[in-house]
Amino acid sequence: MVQKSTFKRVVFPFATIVGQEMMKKALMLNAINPKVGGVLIRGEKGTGKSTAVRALAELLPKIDVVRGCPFNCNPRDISVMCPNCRETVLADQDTKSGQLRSEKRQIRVIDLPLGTTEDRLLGSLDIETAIKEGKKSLEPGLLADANRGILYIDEINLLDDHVVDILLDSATSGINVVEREGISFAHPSRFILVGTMNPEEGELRAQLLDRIALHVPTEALHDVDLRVQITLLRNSFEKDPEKFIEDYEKENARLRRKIKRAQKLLQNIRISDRTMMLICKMCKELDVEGHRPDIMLAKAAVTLAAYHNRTEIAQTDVKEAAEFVLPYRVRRNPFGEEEQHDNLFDDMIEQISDELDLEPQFQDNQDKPEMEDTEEAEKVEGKIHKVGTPVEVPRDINRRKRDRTLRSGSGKRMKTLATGRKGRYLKHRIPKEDTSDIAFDATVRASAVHQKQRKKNSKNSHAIIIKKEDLREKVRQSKVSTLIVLSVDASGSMGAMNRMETAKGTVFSLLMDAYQNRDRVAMVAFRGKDGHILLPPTSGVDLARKLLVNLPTGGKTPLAAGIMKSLSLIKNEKRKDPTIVPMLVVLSDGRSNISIVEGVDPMKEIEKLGQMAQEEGIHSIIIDSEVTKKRKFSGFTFEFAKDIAEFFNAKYFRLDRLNEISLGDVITLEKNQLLDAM
Amino acid sequence: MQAAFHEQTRKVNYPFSAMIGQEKMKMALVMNVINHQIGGVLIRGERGSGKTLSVRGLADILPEIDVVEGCRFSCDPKNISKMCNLCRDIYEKGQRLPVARRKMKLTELPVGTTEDRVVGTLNIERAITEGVKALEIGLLAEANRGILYVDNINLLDDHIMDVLLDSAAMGVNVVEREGISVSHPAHFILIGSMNPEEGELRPQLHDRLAFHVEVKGAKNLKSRLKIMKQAMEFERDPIYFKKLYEESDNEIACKIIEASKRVPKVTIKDHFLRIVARMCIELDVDGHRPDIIITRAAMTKAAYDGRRQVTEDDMIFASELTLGFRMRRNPFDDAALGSARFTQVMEHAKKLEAESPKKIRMTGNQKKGARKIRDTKMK
Repeated sequence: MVQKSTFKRVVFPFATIVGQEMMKKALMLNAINPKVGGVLIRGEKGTGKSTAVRALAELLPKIDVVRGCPFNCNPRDISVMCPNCRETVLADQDTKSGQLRSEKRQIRVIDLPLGTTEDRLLGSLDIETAIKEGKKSLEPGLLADANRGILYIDEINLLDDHVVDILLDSATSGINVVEREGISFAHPSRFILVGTMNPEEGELRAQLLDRIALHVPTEALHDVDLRVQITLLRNSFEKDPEKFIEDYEKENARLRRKIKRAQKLLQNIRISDRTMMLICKMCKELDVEGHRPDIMLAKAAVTLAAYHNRTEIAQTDVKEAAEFVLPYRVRRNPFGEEEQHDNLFDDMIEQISDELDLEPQFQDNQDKPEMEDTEEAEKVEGKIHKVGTPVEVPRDINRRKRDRTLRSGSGKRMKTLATGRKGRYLKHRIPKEDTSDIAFDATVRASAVHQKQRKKNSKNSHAIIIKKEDLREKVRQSKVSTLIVLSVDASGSMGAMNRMETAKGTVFSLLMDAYQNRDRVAMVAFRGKDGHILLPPTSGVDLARKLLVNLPTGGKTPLAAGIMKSLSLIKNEKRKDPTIVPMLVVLSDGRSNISIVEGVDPMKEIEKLGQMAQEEGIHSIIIDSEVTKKRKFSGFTFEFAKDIAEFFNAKYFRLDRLNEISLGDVITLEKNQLLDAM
Repeated sequence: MQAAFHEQTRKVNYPFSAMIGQEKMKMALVMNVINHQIGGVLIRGERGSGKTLSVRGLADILPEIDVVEGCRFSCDPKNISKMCNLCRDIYEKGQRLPVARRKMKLTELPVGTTEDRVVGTLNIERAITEGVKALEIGLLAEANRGILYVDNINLLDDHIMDVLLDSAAMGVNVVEREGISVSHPAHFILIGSMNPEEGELRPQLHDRLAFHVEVKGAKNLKSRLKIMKQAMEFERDPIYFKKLYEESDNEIACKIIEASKRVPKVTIKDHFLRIVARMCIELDVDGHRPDIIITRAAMTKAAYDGRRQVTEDDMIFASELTLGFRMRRNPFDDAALGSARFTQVMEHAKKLEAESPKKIRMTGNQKKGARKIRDTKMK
């Protein structure tokens, strides 16, 4: 069992957190109404994100839980109880003796660390009881701990995809279904999901983003007075936390009362049809995906009304809710500047409500055909290229090499991940250290020989007596997945058009291939001053098609910045899953004319980046897109890119020589060679 | 016991009949329940469009079936060919199998499932305390004669997908692991849902699932409003909400029962069979599976509508569900073909048929034989 510490943590009071009003409000809304659906906090480090979350738990009213229940069941609500508690309650009805014993407890904040394995999250077979007592039981995971509490995920965007997949279902259904190692169990898992992320390290997966209701940006405060205030407060807290908390207890109590009052109000608030219509129209206008945003928006608006001590939903509530719910759900142009959403929502609400006023019987006009495309065409600077035609990848080079080097067993950085239970059970072996991934068949077989001897000396009546030396561990095999990052020069130099066409075509042909091999492809384009991730790592063709529709070119060539962006993308992906095999493909003519740091020779920077890539073990390919079409210079080439290839110890190809085999083939070939070499 | 717990812990499902719009998806689901032979549904669609909600809601309107009492695989007491070994032994000895009646089950396969829970594994409890090698049944056994639902089917681990494909194809699950060697029937209706943005489905599995339907959020303002209202109402008091729709849910359930009784009586003209075949040739589909699925689906649709004769509309509807997505040669093709296109193809096929009425003359016996084969297939 996991040791639960009884040590009481001293928490910085919620009321003393300075600034970050939006974040605080979002957290309060969730405290008032847990059904709002979680908060995603986007922003840099050290802006008080975790402090606020922990402080919030302190603020929340205590809850009744069944004593000793690992799932924190509510003793009064049978509809959301774990099977064990329910059984006790149902048994009670007959005998009328001994009820569920309950106790009052603070709401818990459960941390979900990045290296968490599937079985730790979901729960798994309790090996100890299984072997000692021959009983199958569930060792509850984090989703059990988090029931009726707060599940806090720092850097949620770096969470392993497998873990996210699991999280998705529990987050929406409120139930965790465990189907693992012979255990079949379902228990309630309703939690307030609070995630934080730094958008610079990569976006959150759209599926997960969609399931977290409120999105708030944070940044460090720029006001000198406030900053000083923070430092002062923090210092006096460190000096004597107990006293500090006492001093501010009044403030906290006030907030606590506010939450309670709002909770009471909440039950009486009804949404008028007009408000609902307003919400619907907004969502439709903004072309959000699915119906979840509508519902989230409505819930947030209701809770906001309660927060403001009102029983009617005002237009401002809807506007405020929209600021929390909508901004990151609206489809954006990757190169477009962030819009000022403030005014956008204001104007939109004004306009729609005017429309609603004009037609008081707005419910009757449904027979009219709906206007399909209300969305205005986005204006994009520069030229826009069509998606190139996919290049066929020959079947014979699709051969998949299985990785036998036990990548999942020898990761140096994260021990917890190294023993992950992914992959197929291949064979067994004697474990080197403690293991929880026990191969039962082999263990039982190993113990068979000793049974007679042991039974003589044993008191209990188990059919099999297993000792530690019998234990066998599972050796698992899983497929390696590769990540191909295409870094493309989108600057205005010659042949930009050609490059873009080729790159897009290549992305699609790679994705068609990935669709069978489960590899992922990303695309980074650089122009102007910086690199942009046009396509986050994906294996979905649909997403690529959606994101790579419009793509402008033009501007200067920030090659170094582009490569840096690609490298950091790869690094982040490696943090999520250390077993991936990354590959960097740079498509450029190598004429870098802008450096990351002003005044530095761009080539020097690239040299450094090349070293970094090699240290990280990233395999690179440089595709030279230099154009020598002018007759005057026929046959004469600069081949700047060749130098870059040297920096990266990369293979060098010229785009104009790649007539017969397409770029997609080259990459696939390289990839297979890379996998073979391992 | 565990299964009972499951049902209790599952929260109240959103009623199936309260789903607004998404008619094609609902029909595809219902048709599969009516006729188990159709072979599954794949629901593709954007986030938050009610994929999971509908399938879970379906669980409450499933019909009752006869099972052998106490049999872990829910064997059919009347069908010896699909019985597990235990039941067959008893049956062959001439003893009577105890019969129980219970609802058809919807088993869910969560993404984090391990292989041993899917296939079944050694019962550790019994192995250790009694020293007996016994099978602990997996989800495939639980799903026998029921529905197996995989949410986010495209995110499923490859090796689990392999296992799934095997049993889906053969209707048998073979457990060969940890010293156990058992095989048992595993006939189930496979329903998968996915968001294509998260990656495509493996082509083999794609082909295995008979119907492919796409769902999208409603664009119509009125339905949007209604959806939101109902969702909020449901959240406030699920049990009350469920009661409101009990009657309409029952109506669908009754319709399903009636239709499944009617399916064996539905006939399809030979002429129509030829047209289906021509359509498939015309559209250049892979393999023969589509022909078979379309005819089955058309007959099921007729049965659902209370007819005993398949009409052209049934066939168009069936081909839309079956071929719409199959016709995409690659993932770049835009959305599925619509019913208009199928009507067109059908007209074309009819014309071709009229031009060359060259029928292979069959002797009376051959005809009879062919019809017999066809009839058993349709069942």
